[in-house]
Amino acid sequence: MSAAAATADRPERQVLLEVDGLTIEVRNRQMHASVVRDVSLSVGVGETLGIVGESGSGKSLTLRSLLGVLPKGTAVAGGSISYRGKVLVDDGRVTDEMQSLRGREIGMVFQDATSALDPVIRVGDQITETLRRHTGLSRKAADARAIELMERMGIPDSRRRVRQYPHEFSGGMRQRVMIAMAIACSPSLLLCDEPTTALDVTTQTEILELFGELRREQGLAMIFVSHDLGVIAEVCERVCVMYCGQIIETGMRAQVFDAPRHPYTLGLIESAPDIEAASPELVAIPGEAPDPTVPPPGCRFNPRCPMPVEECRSGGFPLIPLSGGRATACIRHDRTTALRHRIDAEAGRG
Amino acid sequence: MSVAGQTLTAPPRRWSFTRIVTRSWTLTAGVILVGLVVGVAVFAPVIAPHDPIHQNLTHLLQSPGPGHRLGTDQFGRDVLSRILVGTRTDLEIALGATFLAVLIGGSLGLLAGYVGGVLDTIVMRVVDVVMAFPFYVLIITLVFVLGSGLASLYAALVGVGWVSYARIVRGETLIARNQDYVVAARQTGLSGRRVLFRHILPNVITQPIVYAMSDVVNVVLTIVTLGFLGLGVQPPTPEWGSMIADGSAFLTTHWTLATFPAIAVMITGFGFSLLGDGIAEVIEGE
Amino acid sequence: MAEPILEARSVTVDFAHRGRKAGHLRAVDHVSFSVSAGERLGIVGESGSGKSTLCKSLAGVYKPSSGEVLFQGESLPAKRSPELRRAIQIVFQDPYTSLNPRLRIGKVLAEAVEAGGRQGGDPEQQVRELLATVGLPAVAASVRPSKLSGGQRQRVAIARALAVEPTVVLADEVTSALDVSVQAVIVNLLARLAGEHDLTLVFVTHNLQVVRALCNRICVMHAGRIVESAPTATLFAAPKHPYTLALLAAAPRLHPREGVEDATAKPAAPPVAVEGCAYRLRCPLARARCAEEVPPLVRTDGETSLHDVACHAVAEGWEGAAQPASSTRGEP
Repeated sequence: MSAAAATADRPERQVLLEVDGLTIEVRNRQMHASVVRDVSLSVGVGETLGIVGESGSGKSLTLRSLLGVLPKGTAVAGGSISYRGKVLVDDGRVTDEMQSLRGREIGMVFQDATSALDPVIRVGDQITETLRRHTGLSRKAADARAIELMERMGIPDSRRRVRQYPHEFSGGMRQRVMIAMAIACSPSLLLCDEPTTALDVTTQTEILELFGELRREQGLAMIFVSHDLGVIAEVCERVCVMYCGQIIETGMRAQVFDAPRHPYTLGLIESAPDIEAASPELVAIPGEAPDPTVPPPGCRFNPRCPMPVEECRSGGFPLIPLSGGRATACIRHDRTTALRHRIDAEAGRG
Repeated sequence: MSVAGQTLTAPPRRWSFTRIVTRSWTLTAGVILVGLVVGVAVFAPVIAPHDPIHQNLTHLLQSPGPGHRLGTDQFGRDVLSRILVGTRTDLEIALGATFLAVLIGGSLGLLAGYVGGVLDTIVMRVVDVVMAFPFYVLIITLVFVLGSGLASLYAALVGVGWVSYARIVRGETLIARNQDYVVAARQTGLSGRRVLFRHILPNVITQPIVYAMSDVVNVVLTIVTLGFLGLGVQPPTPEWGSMIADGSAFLTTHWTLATFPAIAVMITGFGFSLLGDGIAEVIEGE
Repeated sequence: MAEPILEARSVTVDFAHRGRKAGHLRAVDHVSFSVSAGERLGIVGESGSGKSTLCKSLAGVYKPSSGEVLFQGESLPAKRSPELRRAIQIVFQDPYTSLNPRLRIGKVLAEAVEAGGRQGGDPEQQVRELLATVGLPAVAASVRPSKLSGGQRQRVAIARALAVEPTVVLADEVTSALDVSVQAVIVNLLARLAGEHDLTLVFVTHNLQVVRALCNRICVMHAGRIVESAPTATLFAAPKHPYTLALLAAAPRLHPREGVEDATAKPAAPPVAVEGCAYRLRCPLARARCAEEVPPLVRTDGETSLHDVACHAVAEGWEGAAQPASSTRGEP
């Protein structure tokens, strides 16, 4: 049962983007293997979905495949992606629709504004370039809109700054420029790949507030990829947790973080430093995440899991739907609460 | 002590012939060609059918035939033998001069980059001066001034050739010097010298080697050009450049005299180019 | 009161600008603090705070432009002897540049062991022991760094630092380039090793939450100066400096509170040299005095509180927002 269907609990929910059974492979001289397997998710109008995962989980690749900007050597090998009913990727093949939607209906914000912005082109021109390509605005109109956008993104003195180059901006300001570029054509969906990871924590707060405003004022839907649980918590209503190329848990963020139903999610939460936590102890997950191209047999988390059984070592682990629109891939999910208490007790937490 | 889920394993070293060959076709082709040329150079005196400097005045300017596969020149000397032995001449000088240039230039560059200060300034200014002159102007002047003969040829080639390597290695050293692992090595109490040879040198050596492979081509061409101009290697030692020069007088009647040595130069140049590109490809692929 | 093992006295580090912009960039500005033996000090600051430069100055990588660094009571000269260099080890932030890509791990560690002057003993055995201490299998000795993950490389870097039997270990943002769950592993590893090997630890980071678990004392740095310094519990229970409050408020929480006012006000301006207090451009409490005088680091709440703050507003009686750093989980 796809996660999309499992989370469609509100009948009036209008689906914007739907991904079904997406598989991404790495193909080069050394190998030919899947790095993302059978990922299904959906985002409705005005919703924010967070994809949480660590290195090697495949979260960035998943996001990039939505726009067709996968790095060289990787390609979509199966599954489908559709936007408002229009098919973008069908059984692994990218359709022509993708090109027309990119930038106009779907915008993307990258992690590192320094490398995403062209250092030799003025910031204003980079914004107007996007505008003019997709909306056919005149030169003057596009320029005016660029200034207005920068202003709305909180860049002071935008009339003057629109003619500056990226290096004349601080890290946080550059990120705001990138967001301005991404929303220039008023897209309905914004894809964000770790947009605040490279920023200082105080700057990060401001950028996250900005995202919040965009959501509230424009009804912008977002898919937000991050390894930082706190950032996801601030921005997202729903969350998918990815591990080793697969989705292992989905649901409403508050519920998943409060009462996770997969030992990996639990492990992430326990190891994430939280200023609110009663005790500052960090409980680490033993071992390392496996290479998604050579995954362990059975449940991919089982070598590091604190509660594996014989059944965990073989077979596939599709998402099991739970109540409240949640789903988990763990066959022993009902034991996670008990596990949490055990871990907390051992760590000396209240 | 084991850690759950550890995916670290000792690397299995599987070297199969096919893997090496298909890694980079350029490299394979380059190795074959260069191997061929070097093989000829090494075994030249053995495989040459005739004595290259023996003049046979009864067989002047013969066309290629059974006795002389590539014919004879205006002094009755066997062209094939001269080309084969000439390989040795040209290659030996080219490789020798390049090696010395890398050694001297690389060492100076390494020191300049690592020590910095006055040494760096002096070395780099000298490099600038040498580079300011057009290459051939300098080479020809030096050979002229130092007189003919092998020693002066080496002196000129190395004297001009070292500067590129000095610059490359200095640049790489400046980068390596500030890397965290070098700082860490110093912090463990290692002497400056130890750090230089153990940590910096291995990491700066790749670039000059790749450059040298392509540079050998240029050096071969320089020697050939000098030979063509009558400078450098003196007769009767067979050398491709002087052979081409001699043969150019007979281009309309006996075109083979100039052309075959030229083909030899071409094959050698091509081989080294492929080798250099192949090495760069393999290194970049890592 | 034990003699401080490491002490900075008015350390200033300037970097000269080359080219058009003449003058210098002051990365560290008259920083003074001391660390006692066995203590675990956290230095927290964002980018540009000077914390990494301070760290490297303590290790002797940079020479202070003015002020001095003392180790075990003795002032450290610009050129240090190998023994002195070994006594203070750094573990670097970037696991991808902190190991020589050409050397196998075993060689890296063997070199460190040998440099440490440990006479006798089988070097291979010692390398294996080091690897075991940081939780890596013996087979790791035969691979090159490119075969290891970021977390594994950091463990090797820690092993290398331990190999020379240092007295002080400076960890410069060692977890910043790692995944969240791996960060926990490294932090716990450092805590354990510091205890087992009787080390003094200085942990530099931008993440306040991480130091809470590891350190017994925290210094907060901003624009090259220490703005607040206190025992960990005190800092989280009663933070005083507006910047500390901003950092605490900005720390993303797993269970966000709705509608809470934070102490920050304006967005960060690009770095610019300022007169007086460097934080005043962003500070909601800025007053005239802040533009004229750099606030000195002074003790608040009594001599024994060990709580120092550099803020005019605090000195004039501002008590800090009633901002508890922790709240009961699950509160709406």
